[in-house]
Amino acid sequence: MYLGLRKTEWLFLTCFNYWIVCRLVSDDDNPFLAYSPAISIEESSEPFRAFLGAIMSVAKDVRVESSAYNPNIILDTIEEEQDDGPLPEHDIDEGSEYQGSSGSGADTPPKTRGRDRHSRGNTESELLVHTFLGRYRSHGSLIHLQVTSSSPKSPENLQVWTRLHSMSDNSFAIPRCGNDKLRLWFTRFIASGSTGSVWQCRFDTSYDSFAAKIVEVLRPSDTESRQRLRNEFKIYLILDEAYQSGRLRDRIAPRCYGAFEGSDMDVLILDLCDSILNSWGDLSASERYVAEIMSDNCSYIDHT
Amino acid sequence: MISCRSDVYKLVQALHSIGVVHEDLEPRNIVRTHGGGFLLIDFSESRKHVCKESKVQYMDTWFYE
Repeated sequence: MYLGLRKTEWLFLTCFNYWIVCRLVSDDDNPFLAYSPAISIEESSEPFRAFLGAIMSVAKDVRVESSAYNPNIILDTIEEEQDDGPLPEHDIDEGSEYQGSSGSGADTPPKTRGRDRHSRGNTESELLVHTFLGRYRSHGSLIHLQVTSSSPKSPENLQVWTRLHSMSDNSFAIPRCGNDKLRLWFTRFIASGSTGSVWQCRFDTSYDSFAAKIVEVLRPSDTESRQRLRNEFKIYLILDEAYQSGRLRDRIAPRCYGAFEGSDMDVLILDLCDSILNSWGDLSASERYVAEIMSDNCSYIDHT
Repeated sequence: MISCRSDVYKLVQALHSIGVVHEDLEPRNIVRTHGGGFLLIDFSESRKHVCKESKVQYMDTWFYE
């Protein structure tokens, strides 16, 4: 989540594809924020809603004077630092293990790119969300990966980037996209669960869709979710090894294309499937019976 | 088309056969593939189990009784 401040009056909060435009109201007794009711945050992430709720809870029942947005306002701009690629000390080769996230290389927090002050108007649709830049090792080669939730038609100078590393034991191969500079676009929010959110995504030069499971580490308690995702990744490694060695005749889970980590985000890329079962009621009575037995006996296996 | 009954069962059995228990088997963690089959997802609670192969075989027999 990043904040864009327009002078002192307007605050733009973004989280994936959602924007909240806030007006910073100056009041000696009760300074508070007023935000646009036209932009729903119902599908925004829980951390984002929690954050917004926290800052909006400062003042209640305070009258807000109406005001019009001035499109001629001069915006603050944040100059983007030149991206010179990974620093030598962060290079990962086949014979070394990833040593963590220290240093200012690939784990540097995302940089906000400068906004074009002469860009069109103030419609929310033209406001972009965030882009993530990652790199990972796949079969011995170091590859850069850009991941974004922006529209592919979005002006690139409005995108914000974050760098991710391949997890140290990542041995999965990504789909060949015919381009050394791989980019992954988050195109549609699918669902959120106990671990993180799932987005439909596609690589830059292909229209094949994949699923990206994302964990954002925005607060200390999110580290548990990160650990859950990393545990899941290890299971995918086991599943893939079993499938490649022939111990599994067929895949029993979506194919995994790798896992990536950053200072505040982990991403797991998987094959995109059609849909989930909504309930056991989607099955016939006999199927439900078998499913319930299976569920019960999973516990049996665990404890015997 | 493979029935859901046998399909989901075989998925769980195969998972156990390689030493992994799902630990969170519920409808939302079963996905339909574009081909009409099923796959398991969300292994965040999964872990390795240590039961003997014979017990997995016992389950196999027990299910078909």
